Amino acid sequence: MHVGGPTAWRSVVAAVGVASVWWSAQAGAEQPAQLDPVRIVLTRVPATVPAEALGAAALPDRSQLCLCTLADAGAGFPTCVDLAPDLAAAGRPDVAFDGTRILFVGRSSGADHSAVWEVGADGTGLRQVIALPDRDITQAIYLSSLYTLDAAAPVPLIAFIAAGGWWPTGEFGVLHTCRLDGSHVERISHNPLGERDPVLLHDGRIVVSAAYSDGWTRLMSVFPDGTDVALFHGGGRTRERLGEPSESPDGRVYFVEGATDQPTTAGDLASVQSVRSLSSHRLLASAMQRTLRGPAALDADHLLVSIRADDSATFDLFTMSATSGTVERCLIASRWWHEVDARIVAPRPVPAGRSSVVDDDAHTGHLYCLNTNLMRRERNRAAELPPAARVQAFTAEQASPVAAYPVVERLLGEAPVESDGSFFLEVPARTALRLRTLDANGQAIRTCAWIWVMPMENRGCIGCHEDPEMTPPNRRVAALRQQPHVIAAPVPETPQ
Amino acid sequence: MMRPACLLLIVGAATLTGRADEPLPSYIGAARCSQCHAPSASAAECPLPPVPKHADAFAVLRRDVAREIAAFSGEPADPAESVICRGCHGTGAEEGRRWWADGFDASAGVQCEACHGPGSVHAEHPHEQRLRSIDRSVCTSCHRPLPSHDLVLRDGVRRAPADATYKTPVDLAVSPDGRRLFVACTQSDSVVVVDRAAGTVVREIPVGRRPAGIALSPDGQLLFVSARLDDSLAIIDTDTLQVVNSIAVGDEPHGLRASADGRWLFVLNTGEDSISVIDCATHKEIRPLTAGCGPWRGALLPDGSLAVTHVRPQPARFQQPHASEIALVAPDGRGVRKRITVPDANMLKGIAVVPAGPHAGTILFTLARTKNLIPATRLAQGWVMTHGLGVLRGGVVDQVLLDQPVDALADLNDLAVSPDGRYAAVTSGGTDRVAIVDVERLIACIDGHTPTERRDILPNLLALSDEFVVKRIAVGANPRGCSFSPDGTQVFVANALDDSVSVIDTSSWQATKTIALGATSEVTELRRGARLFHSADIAFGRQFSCQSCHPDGHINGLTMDIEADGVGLKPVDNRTLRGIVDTGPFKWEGTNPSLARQCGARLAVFFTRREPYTPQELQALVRYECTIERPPNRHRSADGLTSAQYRGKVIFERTRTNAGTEIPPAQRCTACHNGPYKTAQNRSIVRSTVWFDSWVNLPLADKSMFDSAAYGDLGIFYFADAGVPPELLDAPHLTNVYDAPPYLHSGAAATLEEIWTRYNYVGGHGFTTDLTRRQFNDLMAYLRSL
Repeated sequence: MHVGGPTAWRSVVAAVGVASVWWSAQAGAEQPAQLDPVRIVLTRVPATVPAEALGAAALPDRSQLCLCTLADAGAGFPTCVDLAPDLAAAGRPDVAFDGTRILFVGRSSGADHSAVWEVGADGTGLRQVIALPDRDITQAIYLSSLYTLDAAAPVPLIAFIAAGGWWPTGEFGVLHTCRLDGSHVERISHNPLGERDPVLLHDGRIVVSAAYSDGWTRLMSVFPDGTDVALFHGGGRTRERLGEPSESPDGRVYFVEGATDQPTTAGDLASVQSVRSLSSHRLLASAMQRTLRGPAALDADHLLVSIRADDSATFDLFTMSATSGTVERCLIASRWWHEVDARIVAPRPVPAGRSSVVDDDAHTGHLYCLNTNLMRRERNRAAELPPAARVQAFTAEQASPVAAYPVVERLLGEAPVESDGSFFLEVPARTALRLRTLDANGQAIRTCAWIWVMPMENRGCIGCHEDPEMTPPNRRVAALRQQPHVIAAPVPETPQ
Repeated sequence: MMRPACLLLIVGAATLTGRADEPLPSYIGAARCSQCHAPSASAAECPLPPVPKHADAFAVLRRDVAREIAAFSGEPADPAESVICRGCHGTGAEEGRRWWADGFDASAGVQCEACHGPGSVHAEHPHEQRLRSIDRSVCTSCHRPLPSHDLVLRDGVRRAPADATYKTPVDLAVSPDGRRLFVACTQSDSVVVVDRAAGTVVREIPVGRRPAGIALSPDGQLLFVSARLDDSLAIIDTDTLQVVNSIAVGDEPHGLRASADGRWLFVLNTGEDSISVIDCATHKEIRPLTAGCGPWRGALLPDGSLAVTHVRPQPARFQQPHASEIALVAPDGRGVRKRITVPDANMLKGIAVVPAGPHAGTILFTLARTKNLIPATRLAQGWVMTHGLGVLRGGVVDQVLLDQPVDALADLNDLAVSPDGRYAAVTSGGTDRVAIVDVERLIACIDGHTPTERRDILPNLLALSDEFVVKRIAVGANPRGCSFSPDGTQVFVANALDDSVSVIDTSSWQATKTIALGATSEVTELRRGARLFHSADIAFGRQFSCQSCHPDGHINGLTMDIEADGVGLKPVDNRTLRGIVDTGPFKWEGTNPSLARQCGARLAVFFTRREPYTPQELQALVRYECTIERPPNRHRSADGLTSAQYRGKVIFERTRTNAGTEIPPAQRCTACHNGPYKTAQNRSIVRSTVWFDSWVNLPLADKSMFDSAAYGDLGIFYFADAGVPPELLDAPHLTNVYDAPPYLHSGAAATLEEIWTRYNYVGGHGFTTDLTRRQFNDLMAYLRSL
């Protein structure tokens, strides 16, 4: 393990001027960001790395974790220091809630897998938090606390993405958590295709960019115990690729969105409210397709974004109005480096913690639906579709070489749907599941996205693709008056 | 040292049976007992050595420390007057002075009859009338762990001096000229008068205990204040700021409203579901009206009718959706002319009528939609509780939510409409905010939907509030009552838990000023606990607070399907928090020995889903809960039990059937319900298991399990016949049991009577099958007196 310290501060990277580049301030009547003093931590990637590779799973070689101290407008040159000069690559930072420590991913040498590291914001106390023997860890963030009945007190956690998603390009990994000492590693997502770009919201939910079988990515929320996975934004009315979410102090979540035929590293800038994430979409900067990535809140009114002028340029760091999307100032620019993944180094409110029913001694959880015949009101096709009579549960058996169908599915079992549309299943925990409803003739009606339950989780849904802002009607359903139908865990096949 | 000896005083004599013709004994006192039971006398002497503490037990109730214990056990009465305290520190308290013979000295502490029962009949007919035999259970009915006593005597906990200075404003009224605010303060038992322009306190007027509602006469000359604990109404002259009269009204008076002509005052008695109509000239109650469950606030319609909200839902069939009601009282107060059902809603509290504009006459009211019939397994998407508005026009009720998907406006307390009818202000006590609703946009939003959508979709949709909520404004801690100024330029909000009034400017919709009501700024542990109790910050999405299910520490009248005991299983009746600290264990399964455990980690895991309370927070919360007051029992007169209640007590304590055979000890009422709180504080088998309690032994394909003809509508017969092992359940305390329907752990019994008339199939809940109708009624009368 490499230990940081004063030596880190001696590795001062050449100071870079505040560039008066092609975007001049267009602040208009808006108040420009106040930057005195502001410390920013970011990833500096050599310009030789193609921009398309910035979004890949692996951290590019010679990436640096840099702490930059900015002066206010026109006051001169930010000073940037490499916080982990002894690592072969470091970057993708997240700042602790008290602003004193930085979590990031890095490699000791080019041959190592990327691991999670932590360093003080003053460059001291570099330590490795967790490394996996067989896989890269590509991103990591701080979480708030998690409490379970067998714990003496709430325990602070981190979340990280480890390589392993079945998405054909390999850019999506698998969401895990562990304690700050690297112990108690838990996989909390069982979406077989994988996810990336985790961010913790103020209310305690983790939002990630998740890959879906239809080839799109959407923003998905899940709690730090792996429960209550739900669509956060995307699907239907927005773009195909949503990623790099970041929450501002006023509760808006900014993210990059693009089309599937665009590079995964950049796109347009959009936002939603965290409280109404499914229906508050706002496009901020649509004219910068292919040129923008990594939004992060500077304050409630301003963002940090990385922008490049054209396909041949590097990504440089700018401030942007969070209300109009107007690019305001270039903060850091260099022709030799991409400056990406910028985060403010400052204290922020500790997000809500979580208390969890998950019990690792259990192997199953429950899925129940109040009325599978209830569907979204604006596309209410209930009159066209027959009522469901049975429900099938599938699991993800293995990755498929066919890109259009990236997961090979396997039927786990089938259960009846009650006359009021309800069903109640006991299902294997920590297992990817898709549910499909069938009518009385065995014809498929609807299929849901990949979901899962954690051990002892009781996961309920209101309907089948119902309006996601609908609350459940207060009715006791027939399925819950009986024992759940057991859907057995998949048994690995043995060769004949 | 207590001796476990058993003593039967007189063998072979009769015991009381509760028959109507049976003389009921009175208390005669230790001096009279000793006339016979003395060393020199003929009768047997008490084998117990004199216990000085027994004699002194009553005297300690007059000490300061006793008042502290009473405060931390939710006892609002002076300990020396409290039936509960005197139940162990005195003799004959439960029966009351009506049953004290001449010369009986109630201040003599724990006397012979405290254990053996009243002795007048026995003294007259010593060989015919048997007294109560004594065993260990008689001793342990009082000599048992009492957390309230440990807290004060062992741990040295006391209320802080600052606790005595808090005001806790809960409602306010603005004078017609707009110059003064009158603020009802429930903790200081006073009305604080505020000069609006100066923002200063002019006067504090003492009134009865626990003021709750406040209203002005139309001309502003008289101010009316309800005193919830005293069951009284104070009438104040607003010129002299003096109380000119105080009159008795119904149980727990809450909301008040004067008629438009100033002739009548309507007093909503939330404890007894009635409305007192008061003649404002004579200050006399001219008639009581029957209200729904928990009448709360009222608003006047243009025709002079009074629209009344109700905080508890109407009784519903077991596991069927509940509904609440808006009652419309005739302008002349001669009756309730209409009851309008509000389906799936509860906690109807704030109400106002749009006074002007295109929607004049529309009634707006606050509500909650508690999802008690579906498992409380998620907090996302309003699975446990949502909060919104009711809109009543032309006899039709619409419901819309003010919540957003992960940002609820929990615990809506009050609602006021601007004089021009354009805006409504709604206080959210759980989130310390005021929502401003654009009335016209609200109505347009509703009218833009089909009747089916208005019935089925809108009440459950979290997507609507952006269309009509103009702003959500942060104010002080736990906002309650609110009111617009007569000129419509300001909204005043009573912040209960920081003793202030927020002033909101209606041109900017900003809280521009905070008026302090004169309390200390110090935050004591009890105040911190109160804030925690009322804060929805404890729950993900701020969906609910403790208060949401326990309004004012009491109940919401619903059963919930809690996750901990299985999805779809064991719906549990909500239980009151009033005066419960000494009634543990807690939870219907009786597995939580203390309030700290009840409100600790499991609450976070299975209810709120956020981080649990810190140890300091939990201590503050629990100590606050200890102080939640149990109001006086309205079925009990100051003199004590009526004859019927006394006969019911005899039946409650009987050991033999009407036929004279011995009732098995486990089937006696006192086996599970004894001591001053009428709980043995242990778990018992009552054989009231219903379908919803267990999946055990139920064949999946056997739909006959739902055959009510065969097994009763709740399957109790099935479980009894099938030999399913009965469950152990906590024996609940019975203090003020009349005020806590529904009953049984499952909430299956809508009334006290139903416990035995419908759900005592195998006699598991006491032996009652031999009781005559009159005996049964006497027993019910007694239970209501507890």
